[in-house]
Formats: sequence, structure tokens, C-alpha cells
Amino acid sequence: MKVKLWSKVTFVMVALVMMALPLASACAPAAAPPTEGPPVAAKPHVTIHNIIDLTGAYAPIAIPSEKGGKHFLAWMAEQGGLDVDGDGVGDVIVDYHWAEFGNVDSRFMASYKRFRLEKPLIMEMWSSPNQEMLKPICERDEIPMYGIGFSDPQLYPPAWNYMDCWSYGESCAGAIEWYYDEVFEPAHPGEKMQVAHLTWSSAYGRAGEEPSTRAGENNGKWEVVACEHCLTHPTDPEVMAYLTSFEGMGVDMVWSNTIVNTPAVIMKGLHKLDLYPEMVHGANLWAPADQLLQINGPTTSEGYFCPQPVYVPACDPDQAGVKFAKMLQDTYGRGEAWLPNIQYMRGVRMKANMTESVRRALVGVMDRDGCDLAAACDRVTGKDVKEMGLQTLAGYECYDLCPLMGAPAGKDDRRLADTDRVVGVKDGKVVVLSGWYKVPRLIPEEMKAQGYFPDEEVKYTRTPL
Amino acid sequence: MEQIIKLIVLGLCMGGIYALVAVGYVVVYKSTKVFNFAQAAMITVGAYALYQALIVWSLPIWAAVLFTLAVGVALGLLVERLLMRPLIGQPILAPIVVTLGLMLLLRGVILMIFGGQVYGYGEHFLPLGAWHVGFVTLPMIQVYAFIISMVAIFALIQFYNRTRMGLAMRVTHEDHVVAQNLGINVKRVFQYSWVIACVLGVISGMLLGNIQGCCVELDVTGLMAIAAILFGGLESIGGAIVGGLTLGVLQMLTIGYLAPLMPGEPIMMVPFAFMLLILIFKPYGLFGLVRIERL
Repeated sequence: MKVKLWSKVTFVMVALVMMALPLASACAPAAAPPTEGPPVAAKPHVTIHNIIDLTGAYAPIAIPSEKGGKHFLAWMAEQGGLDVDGDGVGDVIVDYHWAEFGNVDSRFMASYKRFRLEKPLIMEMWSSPNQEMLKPICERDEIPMYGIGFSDPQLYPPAWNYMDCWSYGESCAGAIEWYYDEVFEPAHPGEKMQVAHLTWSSAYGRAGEEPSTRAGENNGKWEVVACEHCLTHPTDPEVMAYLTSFEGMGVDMVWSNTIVNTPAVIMKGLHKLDLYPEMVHGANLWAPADQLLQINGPTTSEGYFCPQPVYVPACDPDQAGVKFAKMLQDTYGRGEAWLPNIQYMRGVRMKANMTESVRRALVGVMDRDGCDLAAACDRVTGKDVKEMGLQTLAGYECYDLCPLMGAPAGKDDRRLADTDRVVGVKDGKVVVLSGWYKVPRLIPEEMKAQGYFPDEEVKYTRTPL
Repeated sequence: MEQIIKLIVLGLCMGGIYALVAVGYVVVYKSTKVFNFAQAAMITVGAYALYQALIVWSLPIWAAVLFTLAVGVALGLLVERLLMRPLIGQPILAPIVVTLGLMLLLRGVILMIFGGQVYGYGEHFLPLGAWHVGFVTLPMIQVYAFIISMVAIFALIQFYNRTRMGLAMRVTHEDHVVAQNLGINVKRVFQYSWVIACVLGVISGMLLGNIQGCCVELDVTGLMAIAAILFGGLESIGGAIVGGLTLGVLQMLTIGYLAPLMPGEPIMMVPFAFMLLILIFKPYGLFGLVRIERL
């Protein structure tokens, strides 16, 4: 009898815990304004949206980015909200609705459908596959999407998507070219570099493959000899086997368009198989050197490099943008010593660009309709934010988070920057390995033939490179 | 030929860890007849427990390893007492489904505690570098992981063969009722089995976390080891070892020779295709016991 009672009590307790956990996690990311500043009841509201992956494959990059973005919004709320007229006092409360999709497509679509009912002004989205999938839908719904990085197909019109920097393909080609010019060519004059992609089998993972192959064919500096794909969290056997195959093929550089967990395994593989420095590894910006160093330690991180479009806190502590990010983290963070990092900087930049686009749209609506701010907050649409906000960001310095801010999008251009700088691990430290350079623009010939990108020009408000 | 030999050697090194994971499944199945899907999650628990002790609390390596092993023991005791014992006498499907639920629960708890970040042990654990034997490169970290795995399995075999509890576990494996009639405390045997399986799981987790980094997706390796035990036989420790090593080699050769010809991620597909093939011809696995029942 006692045993039966004990069993029942245990069963009920376990059942309650198992029911409570999913409920708690489902409730946690519910739409909740982060604006915790003093209540300002009379001020009008606008809402920005985000569908983010905080528990799936992109979590390692999304979490610090989101911390940066949320801290920025909290700071803005403390200033009284979005300062529309530039008098230093906030005029509009920015509400922030977000959903966590765990890199599950069905959850992504469910979140999008839920948010669509709110007629979003601008929606941040995560992962290239989902954004590629949603391109025509966002255009139909007239919702501008804002992404932290794009595969090249996301750039091609017609689309309502804008990106915080260049495309992954352009950045990949730029970094490979930098390595060829600065390191490989001087050591192997006249030789063509052999490049292999070891990346994820997704739109995001494959984003560097075709453009870098085309760039190599055009400039004659390198040849892409293999494109292989691993799991989103690669297992050690696959990486060791691929590296062994690459060794047989005489590969000089392995590139991956992934996040930091993949380069962590690849770098360990290169070092434990004694392939470094004959074979080196570079990856896109979402595998930053500082995170790799944290995971792998100095020995197996040595020689790693990645291009970055923003200032790097570990290398540029005195830059104004880094100081701003540090102030945000010190004020609103929870004492995480590893922040601000590169992704935190990107997160701040993302939210700053989004809110600035909304601000410009509000000013535009007031001018166009001759209405006051409250009416403008009611009337402003996604189309307004696209045309009067995102496409006019020229001149916006965005808190000095990178040296060449304010790169605007032309009518056909969805990139808000086109410069990079290579950052890597040398002697156990994160160091800047190159100056700022412009990434090659890799528009396919057939796109040009169709008349796309005729007016593309990324304009800068600062000194040219 | 050189390439094949290199891949086979590397595959054997990795296969050692697969064997360790696979033995964890076998230990529970042998005693309880429950197929423990949660074994995959034990790997993740082990990896994160070591991270917590070694990096977050900055404990010395020996203390961190002891802490992780203690987590394995505690987890085994808790799972057996809270989840499995109440299900004794229930249809076998019930505890199996509970282990599936437990796997998801542990995954969720880890996500809640550690978030989705990837962590690593830096250079605190097992030496780096490589040995060169002819044209074959032997990564030290892999060789040490292989040795640790084999030592753990050897210790388990000795436990089975040389201790009173090991004997009791073998008897329980034959028949629960007979074991009970012989005075063996079957519940205690179940408890030991779960504790041993969890400890083996956390050891695998420490080794894998060191090689691949700590993240919730480490349980994929645990799920892949299912192919190894079905290959070797659900009730055979020797079969699990052979299955694990075979799986490691098979994965290496798949990537070396099949991956360039196949789109996607053949590393996930090939082991299970192989497992299906084995099940067609040897439903009990290579070393599994063929049960004959009188009707």
C-alpha cells in the first residue's frame, strides 16, 4: 500500500514537472516589451518584431546578438524612447515582440503568421533558409525583413529583405582573396590556391560555395576543389575523414560558412592531424575568433581567421562603438565577462539600424501626410519603413560600431555595408590581421543581363578605403 | 591504400567512444529489458557537468572528473528510483517511452541551465598533438579517448565476472523470477545497472565534449550508437564493442568514399542503412542471443 502511494506521488510529481517545463519555456519568449524605463503613458508606440533561434543551431550567435539588441532597446527606453525629432528626448515607445523558433521551420512559420496580424513595420529574421523561403511572402505582405547576414539569393530582387552587411559569398571571396594576396602568394608564387568548403548542407552553409567558386574562376587566384557538408554540430569522425581526404587532394584552405562549433571541431582536427600550417581554416563572421578561443583554447585555435564587419572589442577597446557597447553591457548585462563580443556589437547595430529606419519613416510620414507624431505612429507601414527608412540610411553613423557605417541600400541593393577586416588568432590572442577592405561584388551575369542592380552604389559618410 | 588505412585507424579510435556509449545501452537492457533512449542524453549531461566543474568552478581536473562521475551516479539513482521502479510490472513499452521522455527532458533542462551556447574545455583535458606511425597520423586526444573507453569497458567486464553483484546481474539477465527465487535483490540489480549506464554515459560525454565541444547536439552521437548495438546484439557487451568499432570505421569510409558521391549528410544515413541490413539477416545482431520460446 505504501509502495503504491509512493509510486502515485512520484508519478504525479514527475508528470507535473514534465508538463510545467514545456509550459514555462513556451511562456518565456512570449511577446514582452523590454522597455523597462519610467512609464510614459502619453507617448505613442511603435512595434518592431524578431523571429530568432535561441535554442537551435544558431543559438551560439543569436544569444549574444540578442543580448546586445535588447540592451540597446533597454537603453533607448531609459532615454524615454525613440528620439524622433533629435532633441535628445525620447518621443515614441518602442515595443519589441519576439518569438523563439529553435531552428524549426514550422515554428518559424507559426510565429510569422502570428506576427503578420500585427502588421509589422520591420521584422528581424534569423537563418538564411527561412529568409529565402519567405522572400515572396514578405513581399506580398509588404513587410521588410532585416537579417544579420545573407546568402546571395536573398539579395536578388524582387525582395523586401535587407541585410546588416554584405552577403556571405562576398565576404568569403574577400577573405580568401586576402589570404591569397597576403600569405599564400608570397610563399607559393605563381601557384593557384586549392580551396575546399566544409560546411552545412543548408542555404546558409552553402552560401559561400558558388560565389567563391565564381570569384576564383574570374580572378584566377584559387580553385574550389571540394564542397563537402557536415552536420550542424559536426561529429568528430566526419571532420577527421574530410580533412584526411582534403590532405590527399592537396587542399591549402578549408572554408566553412557555419557558426563557431564547426570551426572548433575543424581547427582541433587540423591540429591533431598535424595538418596545420600547410592547411589553414577560415570561416565566416559567425564563427568569431574570440568565441573559438574560448572553446578550444589557444593551441588549437592558432592560425584561425575570419572576416568581420564591425569593430572587435578584444582588439579595438578604445573605439567609440566598443565603448558604447561596453556601457550597454555594464549597465544592462548580468556581469557576463565575455561580453561585449563581436556578436554583441552586431546585435546592437541591428537594433540601432532597425529603430533608425522606423524613425526616418515616422518623419517621412509626418512630412507626407502633414500629421502629428501620434498619427504617424498609427499610419506608418512596412512600405514606409522600407522606402523612407532602410533605403535612406546614408549618413547614419550608428553609434560608431564600425568604421564605415551608414552604407545605404540603393533601390536594388539590400546591403548596408560592403567592407570587412580579417581577425584571427595569433600567439593565443585575438588580433586584427588586415586593414579594412572592400569585398568583391559578385552579381551573377544573368542578373545584370536582366537589368538588376543598375543603380547600386554603397555610399559612405566616412573616409573611403 | 594509404588513405583507406588512415581512415580505418581514425575510425577505430572514434569507434572506442561509440563502443563505450553502446555498452551503456547494453548494461540497462541486459538487466531490465528496457531499451534506454535516455542514454544519449547522459552523454550531454556528462559533457556539461565537466564544463561546469572544470571551467565555471575552475576545479582541478581530478576533482572535476570526480564531480562528473558523481553526477552520473546520482542521475542513475534518481532515474531508477523515481522513474523506473514505479513501472516494474508494467508493459515494457511504458518504461521505454519514459526513457524517450527523459531524453527530451534532460535536453530541455540543459538548455534552460546553459542555453544554446557551445562551450569547450579549452586545453584542460587530455594532451594535444599527434604521433606519426609511418604515413598514419594518430591524434593523441583520440588515442587517449580510445584507451579510456577500453579501460572503462574492461573494468565493467571485470565487475561482471568477478564480483557478487556482477554475478547477480548476470543471473537477473537470464530470468528475473529465477533471480528473485535465488534470493537476489532484483531491484538492487536494476539500480546498479542504471548507475553503471549513467556513469558510462557521462564518461563518454566528457570524452566527446573534449573532442567536439559541449552542446546539446552531442546526443546525436548517442543515437548513432544505437546502430552499433543492433549490429552487435542488444545483450552482448562484446557485440557492442565490435559494433562500436565497426560503426567508427564505417563512418570514416563513408565520408572518405561515399560522401563525394552523395548529397546531404551521409554520415547520418549510412550507419542506419547498415543497421537495417543487419536486422534483415541477423535480427538478434551478430552476437545477440537467439530466444527460442515454446508455444
